[in-house]
Amino acid sequence: MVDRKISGSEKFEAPLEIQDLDEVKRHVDLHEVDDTDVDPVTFEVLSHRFSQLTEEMGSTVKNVSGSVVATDANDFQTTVGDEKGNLVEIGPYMLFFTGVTDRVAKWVLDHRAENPGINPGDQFLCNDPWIATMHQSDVSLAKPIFWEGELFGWATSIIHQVDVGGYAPGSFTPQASDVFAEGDPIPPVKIVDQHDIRSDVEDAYLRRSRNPPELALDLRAKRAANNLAEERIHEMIEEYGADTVKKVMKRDLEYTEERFRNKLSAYPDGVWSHEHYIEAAKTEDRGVYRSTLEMEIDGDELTFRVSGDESVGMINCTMSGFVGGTTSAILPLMAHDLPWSLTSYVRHINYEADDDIIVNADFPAGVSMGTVSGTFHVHNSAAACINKMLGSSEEYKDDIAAGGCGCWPTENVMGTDRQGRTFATMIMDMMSGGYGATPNNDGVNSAGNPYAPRGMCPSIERNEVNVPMLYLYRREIQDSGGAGEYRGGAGVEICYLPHDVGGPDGDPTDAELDSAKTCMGTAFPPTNGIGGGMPPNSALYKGVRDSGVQEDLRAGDIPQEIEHIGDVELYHPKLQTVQGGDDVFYISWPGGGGYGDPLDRDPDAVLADVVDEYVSKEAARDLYGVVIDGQGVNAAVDEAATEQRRDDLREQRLANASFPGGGDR
Amino acid sequence: MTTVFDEHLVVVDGSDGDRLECRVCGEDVCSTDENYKHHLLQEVTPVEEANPNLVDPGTYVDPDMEFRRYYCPGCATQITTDIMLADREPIADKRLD
Repeated sequence: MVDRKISGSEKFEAPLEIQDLDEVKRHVDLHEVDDTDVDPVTFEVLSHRFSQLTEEMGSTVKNVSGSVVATDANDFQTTVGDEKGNLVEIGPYMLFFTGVTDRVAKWVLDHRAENPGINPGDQFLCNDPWIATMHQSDVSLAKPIFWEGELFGWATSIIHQVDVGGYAPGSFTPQASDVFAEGDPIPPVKIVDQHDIRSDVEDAYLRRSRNPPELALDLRAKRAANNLAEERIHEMIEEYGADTVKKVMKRDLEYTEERFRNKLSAYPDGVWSHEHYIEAAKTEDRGVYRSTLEMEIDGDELTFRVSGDESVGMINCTMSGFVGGTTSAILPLMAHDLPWSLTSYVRHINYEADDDIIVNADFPAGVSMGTVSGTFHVHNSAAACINKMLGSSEEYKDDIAAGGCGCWPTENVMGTDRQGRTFATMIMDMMSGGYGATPNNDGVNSAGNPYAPRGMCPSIERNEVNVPMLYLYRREIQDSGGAGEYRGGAGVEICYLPHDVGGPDGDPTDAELDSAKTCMGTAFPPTNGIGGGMPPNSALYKGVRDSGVQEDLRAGDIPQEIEHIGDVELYHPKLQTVQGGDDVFYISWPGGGGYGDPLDRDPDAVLADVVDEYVSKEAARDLYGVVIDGQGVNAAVDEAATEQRRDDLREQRLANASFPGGGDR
Repeated sequence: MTTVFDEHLVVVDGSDGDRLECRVCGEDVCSTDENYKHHLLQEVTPVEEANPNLVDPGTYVDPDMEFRRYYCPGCATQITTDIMLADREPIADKRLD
C-alpha cells in the first residue's frame, strides 16, 4: 500500500465551483446575461426543448454505441450546462452521474483555459474519479459550445466502458489495494481538437483497454451526442437569440432552486441517520466496513454528513461518489415532481465528509468499484435517511419507497468468441432488481433500479449474441422481496454456461472464459425495509465446476436448479477466476425492501403471492402469519388459523424480545 | 396535539415534555430526548431470519452481524428493523427539531 497522500494529487480534486473565474475570463470569453427576464411562454417552450435535448442526446448515444451497456441497459447519462458548467438539464438515465458531470466543465475551465486552450469544436475526455466520475470505467466527454466567439454552454455525455485497463477484465479489480493496480484515471484531456479526434490521444486512451474497438465506438457515440446538443442549441439561438436562450437556462436553474427550497421548507426539520456496511475490501478479505450518514434539514438547507471507516482495498468512492450517491436518492424520492436542473439542488446541499473514509477516499485509494460499492452504499444510506424523514411527514409520506435492490453483482467476462475474436464485456441483467414497497403498493417485481429510471435489462437473446454464453434459466426469485404490509418487489437469478467459445474449431468443453466478480451486498442485504418492513435477499455468486451439463443438454435436459446440477460453491464477492466450458455459474441480486409490519398484510394479498409463487407457503406462515391450505388455484386462506397464528407470533415477539441493554422501562 | 414521528410513533405533549407513543395502541414509549430504540422491545436473531434467501454472513466475513427487530412493548407491532454489526449500539436514527 502506498503511503498517503501523493504530493501533487491535490490538483485533481474538483471543487463544486470554479476556483478562479477572473483567470478563466482572461483566456475564454463567456456568454453571460444579467437577468432572467423572459416571457412565460418562451420559457416553457425552450425549457422543454432543453429537456427533450438530453433525451435526443441519449438516443444518439444508443444509436452509435455498440456496447450493450449503452444500447440495451442505458448505463450512461447526457447533460447540458451553461457557460460555467452549471447543469440545466440531465437525462433520465443513470442518476449516479448527475451529481458530477458539471465538475468536468468547471475543472476544464480552471485548468485547461490557458493550456491547451478551450476552442470551438473541442471536446475533453475524463475518467478521473477524484475530478468527476464514479470510477475509472465511467468515461465522460465534455464539449464546450460556442456562439459568435463566446463560450455559451456545455454538453456532456458519459458511458460506462466495458474495460479501461487494470489488472482484471472489466476493470473492476478485486485484487487492488490502491488505484495503481486499476485502470488509469485520466484527468480531462483534449481528445477532440476543433472537431477532429486526436489520434495520439485516442491511441493512448484505447491502448489500456481489452476492448479498444468498443471504446472507440463509444467515444464517437459521445462525440455525436455532444455535437447534436451543439446543433440544437445553435438552432434555438438562431430562432430566439442567444440572450433569450441563456435567460431560459438561468431561469430554469432559478425556478428549480425555488421549488426545491420550498419543498425543503415543507419537510419537517430534524436529523435522520443510517448506518450501512460493505463486506470484503478485496479478494480473500473477510472484513466489514462501515459508514454512518446523517441527513439534516434546517429550513431550506439540506446537509449530508458522513463518518466511517478509513478507505481500504478497492471498495471506496471519492467525493464524486458521495455527491452522486446522494443526488441519485434525492431525485426519485424528493424531486420526482420537480425539474432536474441539478445544480439548483446542489446549491442547497451541504456535503460534509470525514477525510479519507470509504465514501470520500483520498488518492491513491482503490476506487475501481466506486459505483457498485461506495456510491451504492451512499445511495442506499441516503435513500434510507430520506425515507425516514418522509415517514415524519404526513403530507409527503406517500413518497416513501423502501430500498430497491441496492447493489450490482458485476460479472465481467473476457475470452475468445465463436468467430475466434477476443472480446471483453459485462453482463447487464442486474438492471432488473426489485423495487421497494411503498405505503400503498407492493414494490414492482424485477423492475429495474431506482437510480436509473431508463435502466433496461437486456434480453437473453441479445446477451447470447453478445457473449458466447447459454442461459439455463433467468427468473424472479421466490421470497426475495422484503416482507411487509406491502411486499418488496422480487429480485432475479440467472444460471449460465459458456457456449461456442474458443473459435470455430475450438472444443467448447476445453475453452475458458476469464471472469471477474465484484459485489457489495453478499454477506447481508445491501438495502432495507422501512416502517417495520423486512430486507430483501442478498446477491450471491455460485458455481458448479465440471458440471456435466453439456451431456444433459445433448440429451435434451435443461437443468432448472443449480443445486440439482452438482456440488455448488459459494464464491467470494471479490474474485477473479476462470469459467471452464462445463462450469455453470449462477448470480442472483436483490429484490426490494418491504414496507410496514408483515403481520398487517392483507391475507388475500399473501394468498395471491403464494399462488403466483412470489412467496412460499412457509414464508407466508413464518413471516406473514398467514396459513394457506391447498395448492394452486385451490389454495385458500384458513382465516381462523391465520388469526391464531398472528396472535401467536405477536406473543412470541413479546416473549423473545428485551429492552436493549437488558433493562426494563 | 400530536406530531408524526414515523409510521408507527407520534409525538404527544406530556406533563414533563414531549413524548413518543404508539399510534396503534397508545403505549407511552419514551421522551423525545431519548433514543427511542432503547425503549422498544428488541429481538436479536441471526441475519438469515431477515429473508429466507440469505446465507450465514460468517460464510463471507469474520465480524458478527445480527438482525434486530424493534417492537412496540404494548401491541408488539414491528416498528423498525436493522442489520447491524453485533458490537454496534442501536443508533438514534430519527430526531425532529
